[in-house]
Amino acid sequence: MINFILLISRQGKTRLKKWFVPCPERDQFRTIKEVSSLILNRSPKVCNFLEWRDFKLCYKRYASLFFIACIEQNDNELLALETVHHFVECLDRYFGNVCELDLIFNFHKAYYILDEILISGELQESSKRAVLHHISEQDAMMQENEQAKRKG
Amino acid sequence: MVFEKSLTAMVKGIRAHRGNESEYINTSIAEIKKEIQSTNMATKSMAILKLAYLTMLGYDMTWATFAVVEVMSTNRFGTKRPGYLASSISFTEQTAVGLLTINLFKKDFGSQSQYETGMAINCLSNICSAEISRDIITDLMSLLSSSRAYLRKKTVLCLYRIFLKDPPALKTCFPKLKDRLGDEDQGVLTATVNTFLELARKNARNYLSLVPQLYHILVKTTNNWLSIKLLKVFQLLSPLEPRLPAKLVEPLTNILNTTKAQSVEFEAIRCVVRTMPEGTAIVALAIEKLQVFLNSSDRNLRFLALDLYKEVVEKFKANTSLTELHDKVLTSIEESDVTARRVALQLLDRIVNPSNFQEAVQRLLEFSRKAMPNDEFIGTILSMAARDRYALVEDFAWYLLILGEIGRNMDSSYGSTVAEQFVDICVRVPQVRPYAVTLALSLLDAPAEAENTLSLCTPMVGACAWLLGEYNGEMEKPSEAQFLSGAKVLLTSRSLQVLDAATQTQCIWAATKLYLSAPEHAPAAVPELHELLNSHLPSFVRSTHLDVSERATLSLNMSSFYKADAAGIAAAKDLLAEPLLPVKADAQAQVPLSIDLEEPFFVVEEAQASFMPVRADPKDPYALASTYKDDLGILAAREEVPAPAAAAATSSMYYLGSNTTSATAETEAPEAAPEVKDPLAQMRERLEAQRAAAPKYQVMREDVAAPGPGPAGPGPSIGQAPASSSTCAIPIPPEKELADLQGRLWTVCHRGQHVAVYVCVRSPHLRKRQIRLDLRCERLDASLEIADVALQFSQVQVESSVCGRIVLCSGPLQQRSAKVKANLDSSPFVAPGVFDLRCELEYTVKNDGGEAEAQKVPVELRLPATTFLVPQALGEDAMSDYISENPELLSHQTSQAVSFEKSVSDLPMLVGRCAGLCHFHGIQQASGQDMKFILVAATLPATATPLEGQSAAPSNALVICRCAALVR
Repeated sequence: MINFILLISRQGKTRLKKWFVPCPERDQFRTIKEVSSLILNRSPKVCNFLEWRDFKLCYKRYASLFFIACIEQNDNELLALETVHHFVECLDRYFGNVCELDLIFNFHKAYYILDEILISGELQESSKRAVLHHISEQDAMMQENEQAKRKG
Repeated sequence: MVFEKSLTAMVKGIRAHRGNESEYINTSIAEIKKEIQSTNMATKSMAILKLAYLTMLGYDMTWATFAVVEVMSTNRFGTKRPGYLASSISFTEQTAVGLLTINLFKKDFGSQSQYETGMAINCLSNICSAEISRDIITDLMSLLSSSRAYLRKKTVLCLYRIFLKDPPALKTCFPKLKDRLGDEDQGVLTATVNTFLELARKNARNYLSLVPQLYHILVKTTNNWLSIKLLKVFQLLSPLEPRLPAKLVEPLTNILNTTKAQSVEFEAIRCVVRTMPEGTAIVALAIEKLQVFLNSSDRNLRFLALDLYKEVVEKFKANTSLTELHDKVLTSIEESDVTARRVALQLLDRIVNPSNFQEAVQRLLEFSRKAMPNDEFIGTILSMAARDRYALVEDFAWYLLILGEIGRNMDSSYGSTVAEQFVDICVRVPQVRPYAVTLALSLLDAPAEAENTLSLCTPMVGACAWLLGEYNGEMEKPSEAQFLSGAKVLLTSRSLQVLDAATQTQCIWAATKLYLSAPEHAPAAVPELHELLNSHLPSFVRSTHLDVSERATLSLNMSSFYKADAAGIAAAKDLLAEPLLPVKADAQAQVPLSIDLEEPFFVVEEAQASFMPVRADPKDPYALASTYKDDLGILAAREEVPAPAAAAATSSMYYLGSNTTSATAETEAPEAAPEVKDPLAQMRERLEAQRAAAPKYQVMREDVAAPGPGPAGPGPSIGQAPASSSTCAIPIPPEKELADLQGRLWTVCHRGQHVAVYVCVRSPHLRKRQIRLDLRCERLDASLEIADVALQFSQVQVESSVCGRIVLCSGPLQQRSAKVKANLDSSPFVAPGVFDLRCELEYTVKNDGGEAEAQKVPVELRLPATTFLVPQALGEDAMSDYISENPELLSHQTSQAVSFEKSVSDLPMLVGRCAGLCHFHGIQQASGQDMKFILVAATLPATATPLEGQSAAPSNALVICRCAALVR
């Protein structure tokens, strides 16, 4: 099970944080600080897993962003990396060659996509096509709403 | 109407105000606060979305929770969605408005749009609390049978969160959840397996009933995500169901051979390693696949393989081809990846064996020279070497050289460990000492890089100094030059005076030891050593450290007392005669704690109660007992073996303990001025030269236990007794003599105002199940007339008595009554323990008026602990077998020390008598002057209901006494 997902920029800025287990806000920020300093200081030549407290951190760098998944000791590290990659691919298809700015200005959309991929820390949809289909249907519903509002 | 800013505008604004973002954000928050008041839901929704963004940057939004719920409850999807997003981000269990969401969830669960329902489920999984869970569970359960796979999937995964908050829900949901294992939609199936996996992690046993279905899915599926989760579930279930591993062989082999996905393959390998028994074909296959991972070009796979190999090595010790792995591990250690290196070092520690140990150490040393934080390499070297008492080290001289090299690193945090091993090896391996002494001297003598510094870390200086002092006799002959340069290094080096007090003390004492043993090993150097001590010790005497000053004064006085007189060689040798042995780490701990030397070592009443009255009864003096005296003999003997860790510091103290006289001789020794080059290089050459001779090392791996009683575990030193010692039975006196002795062991059982009662407990009659007591009474107050003294027993039956009444004296009591015998039924007595038999003393006193007054006094008649023991003839081997087979019985231990002024030859007889009196069978081990006795007895089995206050010993319990006699 994934405990939390973090998107951290190379400068250490949080671009997305999502906890799947209840965690007080203050601890979240402490964790983000600790984890991002751990990961940003790792050389690119080392492996993508590290042990942290009682958990394992699996991370991967895509362009200027580090995607970090915190999983439990018994979980499969490779699977976590695949999940992260799956998320990245969905973002990439949705935004069309995603970049950090897309995520900054559309942080809510990144959350919506993540919510279609993961629920309570588990993967719910492994098909990128299905994820994008669900997202676009919901976007369409938002559009209808706005049009209705304008008319009304 | 305030101007509404969109999210994009706000983010742009924040980015534009680099440097004073917080100011901009604060104004934005003020705007948001106004927007939230708006009645326009779209405006409100946008405000909430902006707030959600700011939360991510660390700004508080708890003040807006009510607005969030408002936005969530709007009818339009477009305004609802940001509300749900904000609540999943910001709500916690403690959020008070969380309860307001319950009805909202219920409403949205029934929505036309699957996306609205999905959004609600998603939010529920984030914010649910126990209260929400209880109210929502029935609605959620109905969603399990929804016609839309999209919702079933989300519901199944969300349920796990609910179960965590509200465990009883699991029971009601379980049948419906189990049905989902047959769902035709792959996504729902995967989600269900996922939920069961998480549940099984909490308590796997509850889900064994699912095995047939899960197995069926595993065989059929081609979905990688599903396969991995199933393999995880089976890893949890296999240990609980012994038939499962055999069933899994086929599907696992299939997966290993066919899968293309590395994550699945790796999970399958892990599953095999963790669940399959050793030696099966599938294990071999898995290890083969693991090798491929280990050689992979992907560093993630290499890391995972290394990590898993730790488990492999641990579980299948014999089955792995280690040589190949060894090389691989060493390469991984060389990699710059810190995580991988740490795992590799751990693995190396486990797989190293004597044949590749040297190579491994050399490689680690090379890495440590290159890497900056090299402590983990050094730590691994030291821990590998020290394992099982240097089991891996074959060439100790070589290893000492390595230690020397490590010890030259001033910064290493392992300095003290290195020094400890250095000394420990020399103590345990006598053959390496000549080399070690020379190495120590050259390490100390090494040229320093700068003035007033040493090229050794401080603990190593202490260790080297100690070696020089202790083993200087092992130096190559003629050793005059080495003695002199040793003493010179120890005393004259100015850099020493900046070291800590303990090290300086070690150096001073090592130099003194060189001086004291010089007459024997280097007679020609005595005058010069004396000269050196006299000229350099005064500067230490002035030291600000008290210890240093004191030790220097002592040494100085010794040297000015003995002068350079070589005539006292023999006496000087005496001073340093005791060899230092490796001592068990817990030897000290076995000495009883909190000893107050003023107090008697044992509480008198406890230990000697049964003997006490011997002195009181003048008619039956028992000569032996009066010589009993508490003594610290055993304690003193223990202190004679100092622990090796503190050896360097304390040994010198100890040597002072023996009395000696010493003398000196006057001879001239030529001063040596050796050419200096790198000492380690020199020592390396020496090692090479020595290799040709191929020295055989013997390691004293056994630790010396503290002498005397009280080892905590089974198999005490009985089993470790030297083979040369002879064992024989103790001469136990014949029965008549014992009965005679026993008849003299009287004790006071009552001393009241008028009357005293004495008792003598005789041996029990095993066949008749009786115990005989001899009783006597005595008038204490001569002015009163006392008559008709009797004892009334109520707890046990007394033979030939009326209702347990024994008359000690009928009619008036003169000074002392005659001896009265009483036979008590012994069947209700069981335990080895002191037992106080309650009875009542009855007598009459004539008062002033001449009237007889009846008196009744309760009396406790104490039966000694050994009364109901039966001698048990056990040989030495049988006994140590018994002790090791029944460790759980080793429950009670006591010890006592006594001292006699008797000749040694009398001792076995004495112990024999004691053993006979206390119903023990005894054997004696003699080695040299010291003697050991072991006494064994069994407890009497109970035949009747035991009297209260006793606890029966386990049926096969033995009482074992170990006595060690030390001749002084």
